[in-house]
Amino acid sequence: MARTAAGPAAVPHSALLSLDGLGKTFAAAGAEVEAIRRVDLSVAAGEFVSIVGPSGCGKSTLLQIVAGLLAPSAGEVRLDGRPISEPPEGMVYLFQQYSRSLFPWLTVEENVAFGFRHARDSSRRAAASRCARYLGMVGLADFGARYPWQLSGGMQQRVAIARALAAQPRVLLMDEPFSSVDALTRLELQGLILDLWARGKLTVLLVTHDVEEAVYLSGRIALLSKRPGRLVEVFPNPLPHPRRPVESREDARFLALRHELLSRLLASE
Amino acid sequence: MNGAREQFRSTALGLVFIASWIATLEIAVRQQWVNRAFSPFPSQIAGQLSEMLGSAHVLEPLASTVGLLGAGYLSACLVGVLLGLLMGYNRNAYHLLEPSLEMLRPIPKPALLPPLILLLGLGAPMKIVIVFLGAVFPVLINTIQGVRFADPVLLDVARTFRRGVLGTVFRVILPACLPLILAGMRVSLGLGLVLVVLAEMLTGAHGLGAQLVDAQRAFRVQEMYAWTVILAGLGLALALIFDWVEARLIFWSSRR
Repeated sequence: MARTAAGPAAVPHSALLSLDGLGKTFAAAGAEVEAIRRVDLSVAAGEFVSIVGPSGCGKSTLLQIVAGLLAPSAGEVRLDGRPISEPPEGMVYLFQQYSRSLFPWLTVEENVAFGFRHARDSSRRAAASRCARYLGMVGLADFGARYPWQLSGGMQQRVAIARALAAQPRVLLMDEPFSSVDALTRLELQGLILDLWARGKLTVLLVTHDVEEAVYLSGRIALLSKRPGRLVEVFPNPLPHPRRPVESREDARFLALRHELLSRLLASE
Repeated sequence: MNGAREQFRSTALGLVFIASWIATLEIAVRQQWVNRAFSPFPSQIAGQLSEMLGSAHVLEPLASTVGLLGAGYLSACLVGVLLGLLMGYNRNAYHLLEPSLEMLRPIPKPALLPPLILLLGLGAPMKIVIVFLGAVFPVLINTIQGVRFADPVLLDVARTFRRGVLGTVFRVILPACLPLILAGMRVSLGLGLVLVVLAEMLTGAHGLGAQLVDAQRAFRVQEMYAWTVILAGLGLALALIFDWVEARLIFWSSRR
């Protein structure tokens, strides 16, 4: 039952997350700038959906609206049918800038605990074991007592991932989470996210400018036009699971979808 | 290794220079380039000082000055930080209080001493209030600035993890602007010391400032200089304690 909706051609029948006619216009220096226009998208529980588009198409804006961090100018986002106005329970946003999103005055463990510590029922011991569990998942079991600035960039992003997951969200929103780490670390972190998604009932919405990343990770890919960002098309991904970092990228289905998306992106530039 | 040796060398350089100008002063007074009646030898001041430091004569005024400074300064820090968080976080509070702040802030605080003496008398409350008034503004201004320039990403982290207002203010904003708050507190500490000594000099009852003026009026010149040196030592000790506390509170700030 786990992830039927994540299968190749699955059309979400019961939407966990739905974006209806989302639009956002910024007032900047007297002029109005329309960032996104009438975006509709439904994401079912357990899906991994990526949003790709040319740079400046408003995809980060779109994700911030979904997260409840930014108010839309038009339309609405619903989680479980309830409209979102503030970051809702059960949804966590993973920031692109890990070095700015971790608290330098807290240890790695305290940073992870920040994600759930306000839950009243968690005792100190329970909190410590919860931190240890998620730090173990991202391969940082021995680094809980360090400070973020003592770790490499890739490790810091792992801490941010552990913190996001330790909050035990149903929906994880990621804004170009791997764009500022080196290429090899990026492959490792992509594998990590895919493993963590495959484990639980996590629903992921990923914004990226990296077409290969989108094809490798997701079940469906939404293509946005250039500014103002509109939803051009949603591509189901036929690439089978489990995905392997080297082989999957050489699969004919991977190459075909990559080809299609890249040509569409380049044509829209 | 090399670093420690380099550190020792540069510290030694400064100390040798201090020793040399004290020696020059000693010679200048012995040679009568300066009137001996108004300026004893540095060695005489040192003798006077070591005599005084052994007695309870110093401890009582020192404790009095430090107590008043501590009461005024710490309450100024507390009020400055809390009010600064409120004004930085809440737009209405800012617009309500900012004009009053801008009116009171530029007043040279010693000018408030005469009205405060009329209102509160010559005792401890007046001195605590003047220290408070001098010390509160740098802390308050820096806290407001700190909140306003706090990294918006950290605020969004607090929002995505659904921290309430209090959790956001005290667990995210306050630590994030601690470096700026401490910079304000450092300025305030200097101002507070100036004001407490000035108030003591004007009212002449207790404390180091009063002793200093007493000694001067009675022409106990050696003792007057000794009190000056004690005040210098107090200033230095407070600065060192501040450095020590600051290094422990924002150990992370230069490492980011």
